Amino acid sequence: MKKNILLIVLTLLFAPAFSQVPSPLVQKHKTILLQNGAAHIGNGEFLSTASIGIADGKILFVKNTLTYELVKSEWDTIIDLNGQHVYPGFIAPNVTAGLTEIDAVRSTRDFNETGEFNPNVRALIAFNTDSKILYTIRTNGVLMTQATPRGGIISGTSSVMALDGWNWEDAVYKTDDGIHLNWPEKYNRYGWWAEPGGNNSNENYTNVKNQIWDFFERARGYVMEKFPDESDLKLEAMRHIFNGEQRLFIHVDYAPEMNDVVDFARHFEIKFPVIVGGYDAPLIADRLKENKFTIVLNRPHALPEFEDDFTFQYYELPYKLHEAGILFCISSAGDMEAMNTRNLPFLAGTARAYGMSEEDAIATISLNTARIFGMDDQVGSLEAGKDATLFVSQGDALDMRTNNVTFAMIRGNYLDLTNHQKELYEKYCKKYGLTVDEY
Amino acid sequence: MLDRIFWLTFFFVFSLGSTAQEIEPENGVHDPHNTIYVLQNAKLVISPDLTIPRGTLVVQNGVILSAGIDFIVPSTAVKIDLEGFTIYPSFIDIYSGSGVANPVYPAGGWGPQLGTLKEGPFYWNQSIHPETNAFELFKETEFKDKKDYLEQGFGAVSTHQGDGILRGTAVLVSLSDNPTVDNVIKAEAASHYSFSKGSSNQTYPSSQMGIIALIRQFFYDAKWYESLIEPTKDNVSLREGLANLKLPQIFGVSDKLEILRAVKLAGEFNIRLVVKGGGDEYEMIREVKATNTDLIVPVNFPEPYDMTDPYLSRYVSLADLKAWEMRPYNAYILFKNKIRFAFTADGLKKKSQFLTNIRKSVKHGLPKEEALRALTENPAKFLGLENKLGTLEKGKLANFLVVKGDLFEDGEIYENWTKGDRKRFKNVSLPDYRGQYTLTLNGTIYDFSITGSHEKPSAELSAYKFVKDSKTGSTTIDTIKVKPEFVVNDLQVSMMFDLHDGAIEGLVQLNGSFYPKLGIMEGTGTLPNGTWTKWAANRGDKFKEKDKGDKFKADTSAVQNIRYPNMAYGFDTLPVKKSYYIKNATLWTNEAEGVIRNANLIIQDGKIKSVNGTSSVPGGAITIDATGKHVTCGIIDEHSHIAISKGVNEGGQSVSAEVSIADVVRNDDINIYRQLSGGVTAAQLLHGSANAIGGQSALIKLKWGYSPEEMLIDSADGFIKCALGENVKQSNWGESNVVRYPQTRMGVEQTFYDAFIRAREYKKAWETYYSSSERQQGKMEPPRRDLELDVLCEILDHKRFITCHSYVQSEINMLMHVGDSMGFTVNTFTHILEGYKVADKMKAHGAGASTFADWWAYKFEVNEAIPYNAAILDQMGIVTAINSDDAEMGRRLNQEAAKVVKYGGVSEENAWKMVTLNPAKLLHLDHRMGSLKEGKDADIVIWSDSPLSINARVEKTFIDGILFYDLAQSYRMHQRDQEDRKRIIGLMNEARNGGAEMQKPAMRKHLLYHCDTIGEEGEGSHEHE
Repeated sequence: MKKNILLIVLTLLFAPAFSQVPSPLVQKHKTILLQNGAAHIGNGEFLSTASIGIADGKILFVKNTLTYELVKSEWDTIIDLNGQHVYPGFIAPNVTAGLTEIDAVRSTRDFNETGEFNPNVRALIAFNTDSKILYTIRTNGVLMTQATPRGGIISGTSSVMALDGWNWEDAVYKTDDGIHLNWPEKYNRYGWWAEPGGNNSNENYTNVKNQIWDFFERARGYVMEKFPDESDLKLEAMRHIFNGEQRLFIHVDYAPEMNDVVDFARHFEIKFPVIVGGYDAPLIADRLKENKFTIVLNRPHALPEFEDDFTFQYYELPYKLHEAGILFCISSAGDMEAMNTRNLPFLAGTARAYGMSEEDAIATISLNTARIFGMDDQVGSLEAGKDATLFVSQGDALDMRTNNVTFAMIRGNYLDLTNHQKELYEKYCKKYGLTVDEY
Repeated sequence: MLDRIFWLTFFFVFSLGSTAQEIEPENGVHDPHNTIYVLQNAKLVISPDLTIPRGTLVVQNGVILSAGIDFIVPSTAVKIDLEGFTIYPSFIDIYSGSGVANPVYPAGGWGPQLGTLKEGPFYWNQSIHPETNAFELFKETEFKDKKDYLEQGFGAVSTHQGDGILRGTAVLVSLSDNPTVDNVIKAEAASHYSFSKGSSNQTYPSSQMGIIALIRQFFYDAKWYESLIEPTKDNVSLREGLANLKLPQIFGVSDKLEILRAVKLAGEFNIRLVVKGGGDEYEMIREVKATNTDLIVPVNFPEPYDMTDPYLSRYVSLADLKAWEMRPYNAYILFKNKIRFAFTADGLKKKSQFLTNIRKSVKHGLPKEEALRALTENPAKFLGLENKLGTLEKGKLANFLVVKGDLFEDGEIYENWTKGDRKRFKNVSLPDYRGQYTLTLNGTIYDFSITGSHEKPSAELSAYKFVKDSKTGSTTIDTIKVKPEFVVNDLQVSMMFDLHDGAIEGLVQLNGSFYPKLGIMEGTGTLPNGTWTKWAANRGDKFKEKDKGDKFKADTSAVQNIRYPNMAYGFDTLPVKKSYYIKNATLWTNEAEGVIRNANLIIQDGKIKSVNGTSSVPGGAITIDATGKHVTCGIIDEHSHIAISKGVNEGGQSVSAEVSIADVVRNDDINIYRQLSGGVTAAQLLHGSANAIGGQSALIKLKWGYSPEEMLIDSADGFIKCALGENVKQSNWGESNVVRYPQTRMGVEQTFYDAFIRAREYKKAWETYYSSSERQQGKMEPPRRDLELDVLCEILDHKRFITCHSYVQSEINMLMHVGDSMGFTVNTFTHILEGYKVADKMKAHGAGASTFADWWAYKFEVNEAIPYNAAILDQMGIVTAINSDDAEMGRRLNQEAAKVVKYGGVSEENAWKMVTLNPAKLLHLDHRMGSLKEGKDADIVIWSDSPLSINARVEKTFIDGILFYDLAQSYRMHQRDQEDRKRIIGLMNEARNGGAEMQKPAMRKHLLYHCDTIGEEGEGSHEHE
């Protein structure tokens, strides 16, 4: 079966081009029916034999195959999934994929602008659709990323990108979805174990906090004025934070700072405040919830932040947040995050292994993420009216052993599931006369 | 009884000391400086073991003439009555750096400093300077804390230049105000060493293992130099380094592990050390005791933390909380274990805290006489100067303290005599004014009482005023009490008070003289009207000191609160080997039997006794029903950097084969426990990849709670890390690092050839030497023993095996050519992300591979890394492992193995072997690890699911048949830790209420090392490999 789908896709290829990234495909099928899929809807539901109708890039319906009356003529193509799993395209929030190619090579790093307050710099401008990394991500089911700048106090503005397209204009899914604010830490962990550092960071904390408040006060005043005397690109960029058209992503991990962040967001009446990080979020979940915060959780494959913490502190965080009833999604940000974005599904897998149900775990990298971004009318679940941005995996996509993406589409467009790594694999299998494993 | 003993011991016919023989010419008439001082009626603490309740100490010329009971006192003697005082021998600090400046070198140039900046016939490394003599550098003017030492009770201090590794000699000075020439007790009192590089900016050594190797090499060099018949050049460092071995050898370290390291290192050269420890010896007292080494311990106990904020308090680990609780017990525990030790004031932020903390040690169980021994007799013995210092015996230096009260409770030091020089902090003959007086003034008699302390008496005057009631005509007496200002100055007294009793109406000022024997004060003063008057006061009853009631009592209640290791998740008692019968399990054997369902496994004596066999279950075996569970051998991480102290890279030079991770294994890394929770039982701790030929590996089992020595896998083959590519070339080290050779892959090849060719020639030189007759040898200069080349020769001789960090095909190919042409095989290429491009060549060469499942894109040389690498290598018949190189991923290696199923379709059993049997093969340990086979080590993991499933959780991990990790127990330990934290935080709060100085929470951070972590202070994360 796997081969069948592959054949479909391969026939759509213009030509296999080595050492280049796969091109967006020209879509010939307007109406597509996926039959007999085990559908993980993304909203917590599961349909073991689903028929998914797709027309003009949108999902028409998701029905039970056993009761759905098939009319072949209605479809340009019908693909029998033969029990394979169908998922909404996973969304990786808060990553630099597409903004960097090789971590150690400065010329390939395009995510950290100089200066402390850069709300006006926009990640999508640097988003490189020819980055080879992107094509190793989507082959694991991650079809969208939030291209996110780093550094400074306000890093800049992120955009949600589809991992397909000729250029950033093509690829963008949601332009300028939010601004990223790096909240300072009260406690600097400098020094080392033999000479633990002091904590004169406190003074600096208040200082940076005041800078942030001042900047937001100025911005709020500025955006009230329709025709300001002098343009200020930085303040202008803040406009949509105040009117709620953009999210404010506040990167913060620990409860003392998070409490300050809540006070801050209340003061400025931020409509959609999002915590990014949130190591301590379960401790103050109620307060966060009351104040309309949502959470983009740190990569759970991480060591506990404190020596005495429970060994699986990070693994259990998703479950704890789920129990607390606060809306959250999982991020793969962290070490080597661009290339690690492809491991996002396994972070949800760990959330499942440490307490969450399978479908709830899936939601943490699909519908929850879309809801936090305000895109759940478009993506995040397999529901009628949404974009046909989805993929099929031969096995459980949350388990690295069985994650095997055989088919994927973004807005109803088929994706070419090759990448340069597969090409190199084939090239050397051929050299040695080895059998290429189907994928 | 006691009286008779000291009569016998100390009574002798008194004779005057001999005439002083001064070398220095005198300015003025001769001053013989030979006054005899007789200190009478004091309690004499002669030594920790002998106290005379009431005796006399006689001192002349800075030396004790006698210590005992009264005898004929020559009329020339100065007598000092010390009724009510105790005389103790004064303290000796043999670990000080006071008064000796650190070396100053000329400023180095731009970029890394490869050579020494010290010009002259010295060792090539700036941190090795045994030629330094503190007696030449000691300056009284620089001795800033001398006053503190004196006030804390010290009489002699041995001080050295506290900088560098071989630090030279210390000078023992007494703390009198005499010129230094008279104060030096011993010019070369001890030879000092440390594991701290100090102020040197020379690149080598940059790690503790480098420091250890450098010390080793230095002593080989010194011995070789000594053996030369006709040295062509002189080297002062080498000469002095050997000469200093005649002195007491003092090695300063910072913690218990370093004690073990220092003693082991010194043992290689038959050097007996005195080690200055870190004060945490109690945490590994068994191992410390086994070193049979005298210790010098600090009393720099941590201050309690301000834990008011529950969030911020998390920055203080349980280990640090326990350190606060337990460090005051250290001395007591040393004593209980019969370890000889001395105290030092080293490490204290404020020297004035010294005596307070000694008393704290006593309060925590250290017997007073042992405290005294550690301050006097032991330090004197450690320097071999017990005939001169440490006790109050005839002929010894007159270094003693005059103390009111008990020195180890709340006594006060009134005087500190050093070499007969008398330092007075308080007046020992201050009269005691206290008592009940009748004071006569201006014809009236008043009750007058003096109370308060001896030094600061306070007075109260009671007057009686007759009041007549105008209505009834009766008379009542009003008592008026006033508290005069009362100031005494030796025998002079002044007071002032405002009194309104009818007789006197206003301010009175008095001055008088005191006659202590009579108890009378008398003098003159002025009345409110300004006229002068006489007054007198006669004492009736003397003041009686109230019995304070709270008898001194040591509290040792918390002394058992030590875990293995002494931190979160530490064991209350060390777990031991047991027999286990695991039944109904799915066994992943890694043997021909493959995966066996519904099978059993028996563990006995640390070995696998049977695998689904029929052997009988050993008596007392614990049965584990593993229905639904999967049982495997432990994961072996071929590439790990956890559990290492102070530096994973010796990046100071391009070739550093002489260093060994085995010298610096750290057993209190929480990541050991965390990896047990991921089923890891053994690991190769590798040197980093900062240079071409790095250092030797340590092969360990993750035996949490055991000592580093016990963690090392016995009789394992030796391995060494080599590296190629960007790290070796320093490509990503910034623009200043363009000096060290090599900077290109071309240079990397030459570095290897150069090293191995030098090794080959070195080997030949030795062969020539050894094959010569003894007579010929006598005429030859012996080759110099070079530890770096020794190790390279081991590689050439196939006695040590290479694990080489590598990425791109060109360099992999290169090293195999080097190996082929020099006659060795590269055992393992690690990382080897482009191994798939040269798999055929690797196969032909015979190399193995240990790689990442899916890492790439973090640097240019991994741009063509593919996750199918392991699958191709495996299919090509190369022994292939998946490793971590990362403390976090180390506990998810089962998941990384599962990725190999995804990328390239390796079978599950083969994928599983990539983290078990294959790394065992690469480490030459497959005869005892890596599969479930009868007779192999019982390194066993019980999983909740298939080990390759992301749902799998480790439920139990055994190593050598010892249960080291148990999921349920882990939850319990966590809860226990939380409760323990609360308990100690409560104690800290009590300390705060008791007025203790608090410190803000701070995190003691252990570094997470990766291959390219440089020095000791690398970042926790960021760049990888």
